[in-house]
Amino acid sequence: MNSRTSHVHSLTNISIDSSSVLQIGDSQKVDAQSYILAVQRDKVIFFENEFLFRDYVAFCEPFPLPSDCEPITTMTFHENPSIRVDKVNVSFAAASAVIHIGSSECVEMETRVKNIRHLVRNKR
Amino acid sequence: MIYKVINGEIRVGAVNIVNLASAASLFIGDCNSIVLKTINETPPESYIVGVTQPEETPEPTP
Repeated sequence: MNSRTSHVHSLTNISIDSSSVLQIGDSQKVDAQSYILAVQRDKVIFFENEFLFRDYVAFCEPFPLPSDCEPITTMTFHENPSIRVDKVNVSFAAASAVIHIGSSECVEMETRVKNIRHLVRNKR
Repeated sequence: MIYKVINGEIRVGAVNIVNLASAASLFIGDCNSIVLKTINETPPESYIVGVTQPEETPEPTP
C-alpha cells in the first residue's frame, strides 16, 4: 500500500487517559472500543452489583457489518509524497480515543453509550 | 468498479481539537478501510421513576 509520510511540526496535548492511544508512525490495524453506561440519580446512592453491562441489550447486541456488494479495485496516486501539518493541538483525549499521525491499513472504532436518569420521586 | 484516486498537495496550517472522546480518532495519514460503529441509547424508557431495590445478581465467577 503506497502511503504518504505525515510531517507534523508541533503537537500539543494536555491530557490523555489510560485507554487512549497517541500513535506517531504507521500502523497495521487500529481497533478501539468504548462502552459507556451513564447513570444520573436524584439520591447519590450506588450499589456495587448494579447496572451491569450484560443486563442491557445495547451492549450485547452484535453489530451487522456492511457487506461490500461488488468488488471495488482502488488505484491511488500521490502527486506529493508527504502530508504536512504545522500545528496540532488536541487538549483532551479520553475513552479510547486515538490520535494517529501516520498511515494505517484498517481502522475499526466502536462506541456504545446508554444514559439512564433515575428520579426517586414516586409516580403521580 | 475501478476507483481511481489522485491525491494532490495537502498542507494544513493548524488543527485545534478541544476534546476527543469515546472511540473518536484524529487521523493524519492514509488508510485503506475505516469502519465506525456507534450505538447511542437515551430513549424515554431509560427513565426509572420511584425507588428500585437492586435484585441480588449472582457474583460473576472469575
